[in-house]
Amino acid sequence: MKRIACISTITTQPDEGDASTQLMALYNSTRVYNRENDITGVFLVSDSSCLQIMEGNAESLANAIYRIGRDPRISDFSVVMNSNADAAEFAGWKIRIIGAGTDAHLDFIARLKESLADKIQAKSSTDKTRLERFFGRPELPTPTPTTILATPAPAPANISSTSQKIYDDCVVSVSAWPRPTQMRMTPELIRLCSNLTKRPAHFERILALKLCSSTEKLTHYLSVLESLGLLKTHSSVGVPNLRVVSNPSIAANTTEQAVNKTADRFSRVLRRFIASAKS
Amino acid sequence: MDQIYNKLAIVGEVGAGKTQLINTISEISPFATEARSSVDIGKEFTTVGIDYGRLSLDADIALGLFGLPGQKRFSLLWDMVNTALWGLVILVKYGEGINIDAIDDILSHFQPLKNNVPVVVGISHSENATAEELDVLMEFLEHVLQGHGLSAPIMPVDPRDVESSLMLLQMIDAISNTEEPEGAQLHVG
Ligand SMILES: Nc1nc2c(ncn2[C@@H]2O[C@H](COP(=O)(O)OP(=O)(O)OP(=O)(O)O)[C@@H](O)[C@H]2O)c(=O)[nH]1
Ligand SMILES: Cc1cc2nc3c(=O)[nH]c(=O)nc-3n(C[C@H](O)[C@H](O)[C@H](O)COP(=O)(O)O)c2cc1C
Ligand SMILES: [Mg+2]
Repeated sequence: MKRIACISTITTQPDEGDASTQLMALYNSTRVYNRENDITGVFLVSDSSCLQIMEGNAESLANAIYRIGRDPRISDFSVVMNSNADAAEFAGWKIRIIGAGTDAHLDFIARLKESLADKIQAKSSTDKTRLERFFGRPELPTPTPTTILATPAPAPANISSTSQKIYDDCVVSVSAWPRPTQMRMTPELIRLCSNLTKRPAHFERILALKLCSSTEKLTHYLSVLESLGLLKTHSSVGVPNLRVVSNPSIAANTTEQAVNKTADRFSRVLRRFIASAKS
Repeated sequence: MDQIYNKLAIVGEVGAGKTQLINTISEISPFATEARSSVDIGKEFTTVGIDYGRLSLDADIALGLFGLPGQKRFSLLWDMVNTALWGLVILVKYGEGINIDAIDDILSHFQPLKNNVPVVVGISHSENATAEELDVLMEFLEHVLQGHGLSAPIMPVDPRDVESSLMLLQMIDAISNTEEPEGAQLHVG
């Protein structure tokens, strides 16, 4: 089998969405193609430079190169390594987006540099500059930070050091669900998120709905969500005449009430069942 | 008393664990144990690809579980189930890279936002994945959901495990029981 490396420049198309969407599209089409053709490898991006390492049989690789070379999203395509390989080194490579500058990222670059850097040869000065983005200059001890698929690293959930901000006068919403790896999904948090991802609500309103058992707990959840970059706050100060509706039950028409009654009954029975099944 | 029958669609690629999830949940039905075989619709459709199970919660309350293959060429089957859904579970199998196009197709077709159907994404076969590996995949999935204007919980699930499987139902229940828009609105006046 063969292992090749190529460097290219990603050109964003004016009418195809933002850069990260286009990058995802390029990455995804490459991944699907490689999967279908038994090509394994790595797809690295640093700003507009892209370094791809691919391993597979010679014919598949030739087709892949032909395809990439004609892709309008890619320019200045150059093969910087072409070597024989006994076995796939990147086999079993899973989908990965690594935040720039994380330990995982630096470890990976170091590993890649050790196994490949001496085999990679720049064919031109542009190749050289682009490769340096990934591996750093030879005289530099640490590689310059690169991104393996540009995605911002999530802010760590640093709960203890987060000074408890007061949200009392805020209208808040949640932009995305926290991952179970970031926060423990308690029933309270699930309720809170399902409400706040749908629409913003005032702090007092959330308490009135009893989504959380106490002001402290709510403040705690909100501050953790904020430290994860998932909370949007809109201070209600300055917004004229903005008040919270005091009565949570708004008169609904009878069909709506019937639907809600059915939903309530289903939900009640389901919850009772889940609680008993878990214990 | 009126009967209540809700439908849950479980969509995912080959081997994601749809059948397993349906079996796990159906088998713990506190009521009526013959649910699976008593339903002719199930038998008729498994041959063409719909998996069927039922969680019978009471004499007159049941949740129908419909397992559907994840590829767009089965959208005919999707249409058979995609009416008045109580929830949509997208099962993603961890490990060999995910097919984003397939997830895009599912979301475009089921239109959960427009139909106001709660969505939960479960990542199966992930018991040996590290937290960091899962994070990476979840971040990617969030990006896909956002492309459809959706924010949905993404969580690891083991369809072989009762508690883990029930967590999916708990999530859907929580999401579908958020207040109606009117109730949460702020009054300007
Ligand atoms: N280890 C592990 N095995 C799982 C998990 N989920 C499912 N399985 C197993 O994977 C195998 C395939 O699961 P199925 O439930 O048959 O998958 P499916 O989605 O119905 O697949 P198709 O019907 O072929 O589309 C079964 O043996 C399951 O027990 C998981 O999270 N971890
Ligand atoms: C306890 C109970 C169990 C049911 N089981 C099934 C079933 O297994 N499969 C099914 O398609 N419908 C089942 N139904 C639903 C009814 O047959 C329902 O009328 C049918 O799904 C038609 O619904 P639709 O007109 O909204 O499509 C069940 C209903 C109840 C109350
Ligand atoms: Mg199956």
